[in-house]
Amino acid sequence: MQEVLQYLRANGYKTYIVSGGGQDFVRAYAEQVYGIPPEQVVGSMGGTKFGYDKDGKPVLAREPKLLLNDDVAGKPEGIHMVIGRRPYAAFGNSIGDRPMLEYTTAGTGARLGMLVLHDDPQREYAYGPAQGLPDTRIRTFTPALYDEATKNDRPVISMKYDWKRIFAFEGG
Amino acid sequence: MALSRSDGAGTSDPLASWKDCHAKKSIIDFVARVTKAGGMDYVAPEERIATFDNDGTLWAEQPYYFQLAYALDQIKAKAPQHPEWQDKEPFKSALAGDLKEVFAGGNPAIIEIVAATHSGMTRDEFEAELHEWLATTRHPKTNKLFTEMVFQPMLELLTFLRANDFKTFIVSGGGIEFMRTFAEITYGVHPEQVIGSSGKVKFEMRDGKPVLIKLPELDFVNNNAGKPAAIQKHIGRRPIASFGNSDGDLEMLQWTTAGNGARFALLIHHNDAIREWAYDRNSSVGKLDKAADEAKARGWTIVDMKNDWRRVFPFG
Repeated sequence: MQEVLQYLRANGYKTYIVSGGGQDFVRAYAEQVYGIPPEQVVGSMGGTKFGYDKDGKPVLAREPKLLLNDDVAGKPEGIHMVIGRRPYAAFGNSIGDRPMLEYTTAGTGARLGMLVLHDDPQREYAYGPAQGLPDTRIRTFTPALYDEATKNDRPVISMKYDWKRIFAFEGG
Repeated sequence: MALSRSDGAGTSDPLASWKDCHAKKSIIDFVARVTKAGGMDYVAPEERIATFDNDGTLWAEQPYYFQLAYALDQIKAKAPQHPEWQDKEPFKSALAGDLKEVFAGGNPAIIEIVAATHSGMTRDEFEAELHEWLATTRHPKTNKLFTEMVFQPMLELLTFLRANDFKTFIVSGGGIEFMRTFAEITYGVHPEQVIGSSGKVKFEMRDGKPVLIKLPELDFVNNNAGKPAAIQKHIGRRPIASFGNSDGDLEMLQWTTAGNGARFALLIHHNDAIREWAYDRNSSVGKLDKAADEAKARGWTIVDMKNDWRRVFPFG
C-alpha cells in the first residue's frame, strides 16, 4: 500500500487517511510513516475547547466528547466535513468502509473502489467470514461485501496471492 | 521574448495594490524571514500554514453578510412551498423585505433563516442552487456580482504567500459549503482548505444511490473560540500567520501568535466610507473593538484600508 500511495501521489493525487482510528493518534505518525500531512488525516474526533491557562496563554483542551465517529456512515460524513469533495478512489478492508466506497464510486466519471482481503494467516492475519475465512472480532469482511464488490467491479486484493511482500521488514 | 518575460517578472510588485505602508513592509519582512534557509526564523514549507477569515477580510460584508443575502433570496424563492411562513417570524418580515425586523430577532432569527434555506436538500442540489445565485445576483449598492466584491490587495496577498510555499486556508464564520462553492475560483483556495460553520449532514442511500443530506441542525459555529478548535480539527497544526478584521477573529490570532518562532497576525480596519465602508467598535456586522485593543498592545499589524490600499476591489 505504501507503493500505491506513492504511485498515486506521483500522478497528482492528494492522498488522505479516512480512518475510524483517533484523528490525533493517526496524525502523530502519518506524516513520517505514510507521507501524509496532518491536514490530510480524517479520523474519529474528540472535542477540543479553546481557553486560557492561568497565565493568560491560549490553550486547546481536549474534551471527553466524541465529535465524529469516523466509521461506516461517519466516513463519507467526515470526508464531506474535512475534504468537501468526493474522492475519485477509495481503499478499505472491512464493512466499515462500505459507505465510503459507495460514496466514492457513485460519482460521475472514472472511479475506483478497492478492498484488501486479509486472507494470509501465515504472513499476516486472516478474517472474513467472506471466502470461508475465520469470523474474528478484529474486523469483518462479510460475504455480502465480497459479492457486492464482485458485482460492481470493485477489485478485491488478496493479500495471500496478490502481494509478493507484505511488510517492509520482510526484505526484497 | 525572453527579455519581455524577465522584464515582467523582475519589476512586478507581488503586492502592487498595497501602498508602501507599514503593513506591506511587515508582511514582506515576515515572509522573507520564515523562508530564508538557514535563517533564525526559518520555517519548513509544510509548516507554513496561513489562515484567513472571509467576511470583511477577503470580501466585503456590508450592508449585511452576503450569505444572509442568499438566504433571504431563498426564503422568497421557497415561500410558495411554505405557506406557514406568511405569519411566522422571522420569515414574515423577511418576505416583506423588512430587514430591520429580521435583525431585531438577533442571531436566533438569522440562524433560523439560514437553517431553513440551507437544509432539506442533498449537498449537490445545494451547490447547484448557490452557483445559480452567485452567477446572477448583484450587490444592492455596487451592482457587482458578490464574487467581484473581493479585496484586490488580499487576492495579491494570497498569491504572494502561496508563491512562498504557504498553504492558505479560509477559517470563517460563514457556512463551509457556501464558501467552498466559490472559494477555489475566486481565491484559489481548494475546498479542503476551507473551514467554516456547518450544519449536520447525514449519509444515506436513496433509491440505491448514496447521498449526503443537509439537516436543519447546526453542527458547529466557527467564530471566536470555535476557530482554534476548528483549526485543530481540520489542519492539525498551528498556523504561523492569521488574518482577520473583527472580534470574531481574536481567538484565532491569539492562538496563532502564541506558538513558538516567528508569527504574524493582521487585522483589517474598515475605515474607507468612500470606496468601501467605515465601521468598527459599534458595528453590528464585523465589530472590531477588543481585537483592535489587543492588536495595539501586542504589536499586531493593522491595515488602514483608506490609506494603505491603492485599490480595494478588482473593478474600478
